[in-house]
Amino acid sequence: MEFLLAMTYKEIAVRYRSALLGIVWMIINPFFQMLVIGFVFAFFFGIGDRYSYFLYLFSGLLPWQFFSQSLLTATQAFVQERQLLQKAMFPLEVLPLSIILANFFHFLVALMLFVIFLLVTGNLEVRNFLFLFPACVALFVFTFFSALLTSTLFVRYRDVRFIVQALLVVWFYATPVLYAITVLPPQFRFLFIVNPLSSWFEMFHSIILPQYGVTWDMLAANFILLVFGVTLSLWVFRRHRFSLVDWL
Amino acid sequence: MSDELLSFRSVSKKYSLPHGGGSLVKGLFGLTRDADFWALQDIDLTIAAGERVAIVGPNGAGKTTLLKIAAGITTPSSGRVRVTGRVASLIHLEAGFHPDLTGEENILLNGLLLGMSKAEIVEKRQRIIAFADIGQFIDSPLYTYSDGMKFRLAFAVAVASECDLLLMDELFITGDLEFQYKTAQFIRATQRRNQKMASIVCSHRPVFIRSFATTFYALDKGRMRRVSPQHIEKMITLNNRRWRSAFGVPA
Repeated sequence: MEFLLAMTYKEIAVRYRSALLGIVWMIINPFFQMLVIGFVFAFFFGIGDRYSYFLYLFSGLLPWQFFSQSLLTATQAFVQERQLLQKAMFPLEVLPLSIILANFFHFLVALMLFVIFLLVTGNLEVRNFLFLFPACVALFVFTFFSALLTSTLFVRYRDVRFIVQALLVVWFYATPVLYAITVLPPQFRFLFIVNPLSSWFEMFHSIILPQYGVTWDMLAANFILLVFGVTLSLWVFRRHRFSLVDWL
Repeated sequence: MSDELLSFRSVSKKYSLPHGGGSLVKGLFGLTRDADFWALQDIDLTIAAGERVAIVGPNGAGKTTLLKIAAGITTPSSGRVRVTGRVASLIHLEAGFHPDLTGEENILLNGLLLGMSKAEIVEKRQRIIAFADIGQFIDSPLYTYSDGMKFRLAFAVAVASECDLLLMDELFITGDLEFQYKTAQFIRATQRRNQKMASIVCSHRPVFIRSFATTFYALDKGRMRRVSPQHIEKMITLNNRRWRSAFGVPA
């Protein structure tokens, strides 16, 4: 446990070691991405009310940023920290977990600022605010177990990183980040049902919307896939745990 | 035996080497096959508290694999390993360190890896820093360190962990004569001060390990046998002669 905390602290400390503004970067980066994409969509595509679309976008991009960044960096956790693995045996899952915890901390800070902003500008949908909690937990669990799977596979199969990169590009558009589920023609709605991320993203969106797109069938399907993902990830990790070091 | 720290019973280690590269796409289509390589075969070894052991053998003999198994870093393919007490390893100079963290932060990271608690490390911090004796570098990131400094820091943390068994692998190969001389003195002084600490030292050069041990083994192609100190002495003389002839230096 102490080791996990030390590693998480290390992740955060190393990242901002040489950055003068430190914690400010945490906020600047997602802000700029929101600005650029919001600009593109609001002006070139002309979707609805610009201001609220900005908020809609931000409530989706924030968790997406956390998910994609975590998965990409944590995939390389074992390979990058091979120095540590050459010293002593320790619970290996600490390595991806510490990366994700560090990212999660960033995410929560940004989310908190966003909620405060919504509260001040009167855009917060207080009724749906509580949805943030299950959404955060489910997103964290899903991110961790996805990363545990990809980082384990990456030790042996170095093309996993490219597979993850490619997958994330497709996944981004198959998740309600940029647009609501209702925008899609009904024949594509199954995409959201089989995508284990969609319910949680709809929940994130719901803090600024009076209505939300989470339906029971989608929630059930997402939850089953989540459980399946966790099981698969644990199974692969347990099988390879003891041979991982030999491949580094 | 009650003071038995470490015991290997017919320990073997097999590595599977990927042929055709590590590719998941290829793996799924059955385009890769693994080739087996036995790094250790049928190793028996017991080490008692305070015992000093040295293993000599050429590159690729399995020395590092043996230490890794003793440290618990990797597991044997067959055989039984029993370890009682705390083991600290110095296998690579940079193992257990992060290049971007300062010396002080690395002490914490390294100590936690060796099984110390945070409170214990904080308490021993001053002693570790004094022992490592790397001056103001303790506040600089590790990538600014020379190999000698990395060694001293790693060694200081390992000794501070009050380990029962210290594992050391080829610590001298990176350095020049001056570095080797200082390191050797450092190790000998520590061994004198910690009589109860057992150790295993590995090297491909018998001269490096002669003064650190009383029990000697020769490891070659994964098989190990016990040898006498006289045998080590003879190896040193023979090696010197071969060295000279290899480089055409008259005796």
